[in-house]
Amino acid sequence: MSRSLIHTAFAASFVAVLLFVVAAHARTLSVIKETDVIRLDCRFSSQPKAKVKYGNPLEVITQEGDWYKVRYQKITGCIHQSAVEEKQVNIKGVSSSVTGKGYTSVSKEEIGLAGKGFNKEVEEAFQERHPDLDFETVDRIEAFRTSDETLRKFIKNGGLNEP
Amino acid sequence: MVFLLSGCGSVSVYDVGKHFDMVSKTVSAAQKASRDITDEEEYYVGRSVAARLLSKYPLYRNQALTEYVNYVGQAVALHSDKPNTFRGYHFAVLDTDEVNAFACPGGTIFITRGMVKMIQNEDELAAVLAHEIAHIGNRDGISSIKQSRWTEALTIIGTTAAKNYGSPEFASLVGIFEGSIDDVFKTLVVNGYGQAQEARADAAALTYLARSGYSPEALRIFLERLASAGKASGGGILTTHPATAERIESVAAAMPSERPDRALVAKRTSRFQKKGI
Repeated sequence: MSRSLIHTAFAASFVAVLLFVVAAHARTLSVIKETDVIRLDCRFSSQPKAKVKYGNPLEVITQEGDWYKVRYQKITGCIHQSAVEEKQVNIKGVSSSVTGKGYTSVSKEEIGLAGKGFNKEVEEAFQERHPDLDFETVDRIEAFRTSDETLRKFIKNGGLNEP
Repeated sequence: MVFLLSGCGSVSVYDVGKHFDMVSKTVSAAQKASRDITDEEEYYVGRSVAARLLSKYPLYRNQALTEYVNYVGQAVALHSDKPNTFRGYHFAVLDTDEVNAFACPGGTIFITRGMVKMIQNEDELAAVLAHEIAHIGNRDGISSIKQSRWTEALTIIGTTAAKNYGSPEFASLVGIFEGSIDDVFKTLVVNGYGQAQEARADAAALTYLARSGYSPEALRIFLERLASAGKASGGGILTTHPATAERIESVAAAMPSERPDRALVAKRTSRFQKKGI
């Protein structure tokens, strides 16, 4: 084997190791809200760029105060720190995305605990025990959503501060 | 470690590794077992607390008022220390003359029609909602769940059987969930929060009002009106949110120095009045 070939192989190995180290240190967050958006700028009044769902992994680019600049499926943008957690979220049923996209840090124990706790099934069983409780109205209250645009106008017209 | 364990005779280096692995797994399991209630779990507790409140007080079905209360609430919540909850904040009005407001864990906030009647402008409405938002951010409702209940829940959650709908473990978990709803409901409706929790929520509310552009002074003015009204029916706000002289003094002492633009307060009062409240 010639000396230049050895050098090339060594350099390639070094780059591969470097890339591995960088990848291993990439900080990943998980969305803990049912749904949220990644925004163009790091403020709530900024334009949404992409929707994200509970459990979606977001790669951290930088942190700016209470906001993270993140990358999600090649889209970069901002998300507030209260919408994410620095751990893998246990997703009910452990979908293929959990096991198929590098989520090797999810342990067997975590997979075993997925979807447990006070969840939809527990609430449904509670509802069966208490058919008198008005969950339909709760659903109706939750279904009401303020649109970003109307809220922005409401804030502006009232001389309030943009979030 | 090898040296220390060698005294056990048969423990080989291989066994040490295996033993260490086992210990670390146990520690890991213990760490998981001591976890807090997640935002998602808090949301499900809050939904059931809301359902119980709605069985006590009917919903006030006034679309224009509900929308307005939601916009005011969102304008404040986005400036709070917890602008995000699992499924967001929701605001609704209860159809009762009682003067009260309730923060269900997870983000649903109720204000009574009686309370709305006592409020004289948008900034006061924002002050009441800011106080309730602070209770959610501070997890005051969810922390009223008895520790022993949550510890028992975690033990069950740690079992595989808890996942099987219909298993005794699952039934126990539902029972604990039910008890947790009782704990939170009693705090919200009967006993009220502790004085320290109220003081913390007031202090946070002043901050949120100032951040959002509302007048923090509105909180003090409204508390004074509540105190002078001197009555609240059926476990009302004077029980659950006692407007004591001490509390008003604390709010006055913590008042941010910035003064609101009077013209903007008047502008907001005008749109409040147009809602026919």
